[in-house]
Amino acid sequence: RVSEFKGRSRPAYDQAARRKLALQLQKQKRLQSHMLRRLGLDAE
Amino acid sequence: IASIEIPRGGWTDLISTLLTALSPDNAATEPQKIASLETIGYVCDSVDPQFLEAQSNDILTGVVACMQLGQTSERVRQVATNALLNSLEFCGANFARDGERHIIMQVICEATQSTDQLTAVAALQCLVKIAALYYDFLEEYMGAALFAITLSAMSSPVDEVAMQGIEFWTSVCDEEINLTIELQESSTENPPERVSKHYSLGALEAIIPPICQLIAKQEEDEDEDEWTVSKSATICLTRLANACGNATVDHVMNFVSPNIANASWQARDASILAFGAILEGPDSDKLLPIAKQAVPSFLGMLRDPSSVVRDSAAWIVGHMCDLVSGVVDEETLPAILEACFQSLDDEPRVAKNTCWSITSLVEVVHEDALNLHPELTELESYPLSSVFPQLIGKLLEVAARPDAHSSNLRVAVYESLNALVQHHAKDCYAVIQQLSVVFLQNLQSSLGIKVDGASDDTRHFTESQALLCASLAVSFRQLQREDVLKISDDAIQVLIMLLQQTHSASNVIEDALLCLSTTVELVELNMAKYLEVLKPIIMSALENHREYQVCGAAVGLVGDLFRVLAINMLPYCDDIMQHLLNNLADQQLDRSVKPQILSALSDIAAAIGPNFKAYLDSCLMVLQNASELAINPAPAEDHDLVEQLNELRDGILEAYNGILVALKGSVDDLGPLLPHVQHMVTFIGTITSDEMISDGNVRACLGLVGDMCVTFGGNFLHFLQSGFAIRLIQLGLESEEKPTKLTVKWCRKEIKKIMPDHV
Repeated sequence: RVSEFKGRSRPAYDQAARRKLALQLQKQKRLQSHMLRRLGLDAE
Repeated sequence: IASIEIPRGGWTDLISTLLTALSPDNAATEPQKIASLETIGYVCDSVDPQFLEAQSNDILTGVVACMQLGQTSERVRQVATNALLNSLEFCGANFARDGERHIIMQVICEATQSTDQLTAVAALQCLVKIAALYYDFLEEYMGAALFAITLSAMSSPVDEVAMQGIEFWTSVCDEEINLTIELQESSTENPPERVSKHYSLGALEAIIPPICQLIAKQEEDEDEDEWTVSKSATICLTRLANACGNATVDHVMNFVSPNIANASWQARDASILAFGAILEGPDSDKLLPIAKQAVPSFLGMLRDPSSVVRDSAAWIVGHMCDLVSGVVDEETLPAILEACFQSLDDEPRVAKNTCWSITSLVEVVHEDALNLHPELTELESYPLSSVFPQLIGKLLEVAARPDAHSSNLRVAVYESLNALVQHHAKDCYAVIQQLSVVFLQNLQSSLGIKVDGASDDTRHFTESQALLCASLAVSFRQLQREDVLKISDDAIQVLIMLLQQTHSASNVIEDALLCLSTTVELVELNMAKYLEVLKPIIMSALENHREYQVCGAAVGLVGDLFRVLAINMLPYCDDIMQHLLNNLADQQLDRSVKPQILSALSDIAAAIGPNFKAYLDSCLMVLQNASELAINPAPAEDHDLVEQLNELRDGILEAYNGILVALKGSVDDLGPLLPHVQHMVTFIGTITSDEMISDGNVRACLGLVGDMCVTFGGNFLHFLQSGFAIRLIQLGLESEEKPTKLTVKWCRKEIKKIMPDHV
């Protein structure tokens, strides 16, 4: 519980958040390229 | 030895042998009794309770007999109380029987009154544990004994005793908070079996005053990580506010208001901590007027003579921004900013909290401004625009302070800078552009510095380098492509040099790889010229299984490079594929990397098209094995495992999809894939029948089914007739996510093309 005191649980060096964001962005880009391709197919 | 033997069914006479020494008929000496009880305590503490349940009657009888007042020496009673503390977890059946429970509770309550401090503390610890384990049985004892015992413990001059008095109520609140959540999540037809008895609400008036007084029980130079009465009382008040909501506010304000200006720094600090403790639980409507009224006082306390008070004042500003919606407005913002500017020059611990407050403030101001203009995705201007350059300048100045490594100050500064960059308005764009250059220059100048060893200095240095990489990536994501291109060559070269340095720490390598990933998306084909020099760096990172996050970042970069550079990556494909397939097969590599590798296979296949058939057999084999593993559902209560499984399923589905896209153009190339279609359909069917399916899984399944319709046309018809698609479409239609909604629409259209009567 000591980490809860005065917000100490807030990560000082939040590399985990950066990893998560990078993965999210990569997933988004991958999805985007699939969506574009599918919309292209649809148009054809 | 017992912790190894007993779970395997061995050493069956251990407990009975130890209990023999406690029997009244036995002439065991006091040291023998103590040794037996201590051993029972250790065994109960270290062996999984399920293996001791069968012996709980005997253990309790022996231990409780030694706790009876006047029956044994105080030392025996003390050790017996400790043994009972360690036995409570497997006493469920005994607690459910009134007679046995009464005896246990009676000896514990008597032991709390012992003049021996260790016995009293152990007995109070028993009550804390009972509140958590057997809350449902507290009713008979709460009013008659527990309330008075714990309240009296709180007034003890002995910290250990007072702390257990406080912890009892924290434990009660934890239980009541959980029961309230269960009630809220249940339906009227299906009410929860257990309900809160609201003991905390009943005790509120009596316990808040002593708890607030105990928050003030502080020494000047306490260790930040030490668990003290003051911290225990603060956390208890946080839980009380969560459990009792609005009812806590007035009682706490009766303490806060008169103590804000108290002559004692401990009382001033306690008034801040007590106010901070009640910000979560009560309604915003109740808190907002009080918080707004308190803002000037708290800002004034940022100049308090006591650094402990200043530290707390710097914390509460951000804490209020986070939790009290509306506290930052045009009236309070200028004063908060002015006070924060000044506090950034304070000692590192205060400046660090000020940075966190700035981070919270920036997020809130940006969000509030956006809420005023829901039609906008980007703000032209916002209330921080006028101070934006000064704030950035000040934070950079703080990052350069010689003591910035203390109290994680530099880290907090960069997080504030990142928050400002991410939450800016258009009229701040030029500053962000300049800031990205500053990040790059700082990174560049760090290159020549070599630090060795595992000293704090080295850690601080590598943290700064990693943060600069991260901040550079954050700023790049906010800049227009043409502006990134102005400095991207310099940035890529610096990142490559950083990655080539043999002494670079793993966190620096990881953040540099992540920054390159961001850069690749922006510079696109301009990245091709760096491939030769990047290749050994990527290979070496892919081989770094020990620091698996480095490996994961390299896998991510590989996917980005293929997605952006497409066929230009072909010359590097053999080596990269070999590494990725080796990594997938490696049982030692952390399993979190595997889904990323599967997703990268999707990017590679889609990028190199029919050329992927060279890797087809080995990939399909890997995917079949992986999907057979990923078919088994994870236990719903294990959230981490459910998340891991869903990520693995996502990776497999993405990889299949990538392969399909790569080969769809040529009927001949599709041949090897055909025997796997049934397997893919079974896999999708299994996932869609799992209740723990994620939205990402649904989307990936829909994408794959749609692409199979496109690729195989009428040949896919009989697979669709098996009916698995109906539940999948249903899940897609239930999704709230826009990309999933789009995918389900497209998938249905493709299904209808080959199966017009599909619903």
